Amino acid sequence: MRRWLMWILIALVVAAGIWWFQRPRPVPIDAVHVTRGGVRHTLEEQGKTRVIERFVVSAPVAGRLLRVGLEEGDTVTEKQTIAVIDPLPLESRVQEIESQIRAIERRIDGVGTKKPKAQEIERARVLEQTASEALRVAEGERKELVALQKQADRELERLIPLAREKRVSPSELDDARTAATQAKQRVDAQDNRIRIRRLAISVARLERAVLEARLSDYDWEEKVYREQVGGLRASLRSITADLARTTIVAPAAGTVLAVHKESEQFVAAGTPIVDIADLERLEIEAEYLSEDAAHMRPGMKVEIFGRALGERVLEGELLRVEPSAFEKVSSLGVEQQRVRVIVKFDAKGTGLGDGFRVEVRVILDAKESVLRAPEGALFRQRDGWYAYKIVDDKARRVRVETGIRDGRSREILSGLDENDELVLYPADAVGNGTRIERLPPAEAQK
Amino acid sequence: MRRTLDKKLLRNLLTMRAQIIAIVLIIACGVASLVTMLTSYSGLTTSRDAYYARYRMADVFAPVKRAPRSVLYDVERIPGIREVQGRIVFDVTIDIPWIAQPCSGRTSSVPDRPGRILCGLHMTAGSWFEGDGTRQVILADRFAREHRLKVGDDLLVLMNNKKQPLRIVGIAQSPEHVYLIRGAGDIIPDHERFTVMWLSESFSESVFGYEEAINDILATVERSANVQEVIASIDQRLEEYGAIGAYALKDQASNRYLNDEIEGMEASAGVVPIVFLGIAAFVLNVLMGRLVRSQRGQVAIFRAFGYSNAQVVAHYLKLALLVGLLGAIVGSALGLWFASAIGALYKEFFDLPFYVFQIDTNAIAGGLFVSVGFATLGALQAVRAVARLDPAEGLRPAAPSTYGRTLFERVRPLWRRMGFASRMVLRHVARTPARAAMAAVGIAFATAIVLFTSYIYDAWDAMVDTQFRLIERQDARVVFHEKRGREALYEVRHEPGVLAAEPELVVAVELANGPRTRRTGILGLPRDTELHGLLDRSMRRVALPEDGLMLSQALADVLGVVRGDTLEVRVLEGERPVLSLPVTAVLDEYLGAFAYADIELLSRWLDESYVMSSVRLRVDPHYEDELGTALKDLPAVAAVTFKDRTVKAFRDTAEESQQLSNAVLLFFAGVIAFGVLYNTARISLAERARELGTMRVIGCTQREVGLVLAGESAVLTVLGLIPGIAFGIWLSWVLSKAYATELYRFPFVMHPSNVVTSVCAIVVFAVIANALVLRRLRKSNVIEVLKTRE
Repeated sequence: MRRWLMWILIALVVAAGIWWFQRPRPVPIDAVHVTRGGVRHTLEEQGKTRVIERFVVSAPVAGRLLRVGLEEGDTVTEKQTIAVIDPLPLESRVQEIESQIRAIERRIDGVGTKKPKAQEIERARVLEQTASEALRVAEGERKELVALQKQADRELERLIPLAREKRVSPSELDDARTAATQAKQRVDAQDNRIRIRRLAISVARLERAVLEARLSDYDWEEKVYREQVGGLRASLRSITADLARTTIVAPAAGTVLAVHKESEQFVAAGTPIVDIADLERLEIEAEYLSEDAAHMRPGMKVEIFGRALGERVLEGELLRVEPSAFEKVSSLGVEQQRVRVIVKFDAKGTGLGDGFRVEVRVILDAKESVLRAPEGALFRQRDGWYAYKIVDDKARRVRVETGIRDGRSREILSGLDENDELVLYPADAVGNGTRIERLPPAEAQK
Repeated sequence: MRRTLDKKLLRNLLTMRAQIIAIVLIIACGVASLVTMLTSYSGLTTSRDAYYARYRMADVFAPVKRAPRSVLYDVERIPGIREVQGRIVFDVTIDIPWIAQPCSGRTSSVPDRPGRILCGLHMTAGSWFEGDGTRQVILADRFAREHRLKVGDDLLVLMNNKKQPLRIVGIAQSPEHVYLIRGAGDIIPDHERFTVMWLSESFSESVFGYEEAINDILATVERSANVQEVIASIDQRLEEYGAIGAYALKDQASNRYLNDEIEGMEASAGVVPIVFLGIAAFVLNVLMGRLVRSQRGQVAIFRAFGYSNAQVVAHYLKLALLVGLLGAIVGSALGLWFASAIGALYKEFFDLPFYVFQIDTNAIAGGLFVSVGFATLGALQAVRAVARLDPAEGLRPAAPSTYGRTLFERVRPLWRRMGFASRMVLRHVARTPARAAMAAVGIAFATAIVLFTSYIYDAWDAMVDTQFRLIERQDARVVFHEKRGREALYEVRHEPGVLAAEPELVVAVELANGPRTRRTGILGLPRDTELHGLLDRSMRRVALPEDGLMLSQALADVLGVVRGDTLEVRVLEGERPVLSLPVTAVLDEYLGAFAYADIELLSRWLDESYVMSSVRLRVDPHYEDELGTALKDLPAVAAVTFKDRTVKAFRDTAEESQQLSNAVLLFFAGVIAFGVLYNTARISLAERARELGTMRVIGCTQREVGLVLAGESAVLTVLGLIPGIAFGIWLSWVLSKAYATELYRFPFVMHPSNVVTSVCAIVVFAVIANALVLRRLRKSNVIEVLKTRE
């Protein structure tokens, strides 16, 4: 009996030994903790700085630009002389125009002396009036003469039958006849006189017209000269103004960003000479996908980082999301709709200039002090997200509800508590109940 | 006279058939392994050489960024160069409708008209291009088979920003791609997702905008030329065209894997068969010795009858020879059968158009010679002792052994507690130390083999687990055609299902430590990388240095540097700066020989602010397909690899390649353990027939008698197991060191469970062997023995 017992015991020990050694080996894993802290939903994109106000100082007048003494990066104060356009040609123009004006003014004076005087015209008018009066008198006289002629004709006709009847003497008839003829001659003479009078009127009228025409000719000439003077005066004024502007001054204090025309040369008006801007007043433009931009609102916090800033992270604020998107071929070669987003930030002392490459991170949502777990500790299984919680050196599958994530960690809404230990990157080597073995902690960052 | 002896030989063979079979099997195992390995070795070597020669494999490969075709004339003039050929090689993506991710392809240009070209094509179907080959493609056979694509089908290919269907006009294999991997980083081919294909020169030129230009040069060199010098000249000549360095055939990825396999086989062909044959010799030695000694009287009688000493010795040697011959024949047949099976596997594994299976007469002769030699050696010793005896002396029974106190009996307290059966067992073992030792050695070998087999499984598993769970923590990797800026990272983060994305940058460099140089790529990672675990020897995560390098163990070994040394880094891209950087850590990685640095540092070397050549992703599995589909349409994407697939491919390949060899190894171990124990027990049974008979007479039960025999086996097994475990561990350790190529290393892992498994396996073999012997014991009438007078 005892032998049996012993054998059973031995068998049990062997079986136990086999079981002990054959049980699954612990899987080496990195362990991480559920911590409390901030999780932010952010969107990163490349951006570039731009000055808020850029002053492009251009040549106000055409002319020979004298050498610009400024260099890119020089600071200028408001009203500081930036460039000078040689004023000499303008000054001589002024003199030239002034002398032209004077010459024309003389000529106007000359025109005044040759003009018909007012008395001459008046005389012509009076003459014309006189002629008309004379005509009227002559016509009145003619009426009388016609009446007389008619009377004489009637006398003659009365006498003619009487004479046949010899009731009157032939002398009487002759007299009557003579009288009628004379009356007619007088009328005819009067008609001639009237014709002359009429001609006189025409002459007087013509004379006046000639005088009047001559007067308006001289007026016009004078007007032309006056206009010329006006034009010259105007250009004189503009040239004088130009002359005043040949000294170009800074419209605002700032830094010279670019010197477009440096050497002495002729420039047309409007040619840009230097760009000036206040480098302490920068903003950032970043081109976000329209899908992302739709979630952005002015006032959102933005972080600015990148190689240009070293380890620094600047704070900024979303100023504006432009309302219209544009098409752009992405870095990976597809067409996308992008929206320009403008970020406001304080550029003082950052060393950033205009058009510098920076990275921006728009913070869509940020939660302070929430439970969070590293992204790598969470995994999806069909219906939801899970994590392996380490309990007594064993992995226990736990279902978790997650909130926002930032690519590194994720907010834990439920399922885990602070300081719970989780398996990082479990992959399929870890299952529910798998024994685990912690890898040594990471080397301390130097 | 002669016939008498031969008749006796036959009888001897028949009476000892079970034991003989066991020995023949052991010898057969040895010969089989030798023949298998040598035949496969020569088969694979011959196949490779024939394939390479027939399809004119290039000797030197020189990729450049872009060079005018006329540069070929310059290269041709380099002394030592025999033939030069230029081509246009581009990575493209292929949209296979039933696969949710883009497949990667590499197009190489070949002349519009078929002709003698370097790295020629073995057409398995279809024909060469028609006309100038516009929108026509010759597809790799493997990929076509994988997706059941036929000549005449269309293949949707995204080339140079444009997706267009290409008509498959031909299907071919190429000596350049016997092992179809994308690049140095890949280890296991993914035939479903990666392929090579060939486009006509005219079409390549127009579609990639490479009119009269090339970006890859193939060359063969004169037999007498020094390849290294030729390469140096080529590099010098091509530097202005953005050459990242020409390389020889021996460094060509596909060829390297093939050669590694051949070399590995050559190495093991020298070891494994010797082990088996050695054990066979041991066992044969014991058996022959026992046989000769038991026939001591007969030998004396023969001698008395006037047979010469030589005749008697020859008689016994004939037995040995026969056993050896039988073993060799069975072994050779078995070996050839294995070798043909392996040949078929190789033809598939390495994409070969043909496999030259030759019956390697050398191997068979070698097997025969070795097996017969060992058998003779085993027999000779015993026979010589007998033959030296005087016939008269021989006729007398052998003097009983001196039954003095054995080692065990000196440990009094222990001895006193033992039953008589245990005492018998221990005494017997202690009195025949040589035989016990030999049996123990056999068991030890068997144990070691089993342990070693389980080690290979474990090592592979540990390698995959470490590499793909602890080191590479991404779910997917997206490789770009060209280097991209940070905006690519932002863009990838927007693809569906992407939970996190991290950039990677590979920069071609030459690392130099004095005279030791190595061309490789430095992998740039963000300093706060979460998707790549940089683990040092103690599995501790180390942080990337701001201004320094980390090397994987394999690379550190090649360059002969340790942590703290300084390396010269010659960048082979951009302005080609030369820098000097410290090695801040040596990483314990198993796959590949890599160097790591901060991605920002690498970007600066290229005079870029932040560039990447690929992106690692964590992917929500729910959106995996959606992501794959989205990536299909990105012109910048050259390849997408999902880790799950890689891991699966690794596991599958491991299973495929190991299952057979492991089964064979286990079978061999079983044969050894069984053969050794069975023979020992049978000898014991024969030698101690009188003792056992006596036990029965004095009233011991059949079981108790059996226990004495089984006990002996058990003691021998235990004696063999202990050194066997040590030996197995040592063997595994040696392999982990010896198998450390630049492509991969095996970690040394030894779990107690493996030891338990191997012990259990050996115990099972021992139990089977003993069961057979005990059955024999039950059948035979032991008491009969007592009746004979000696």
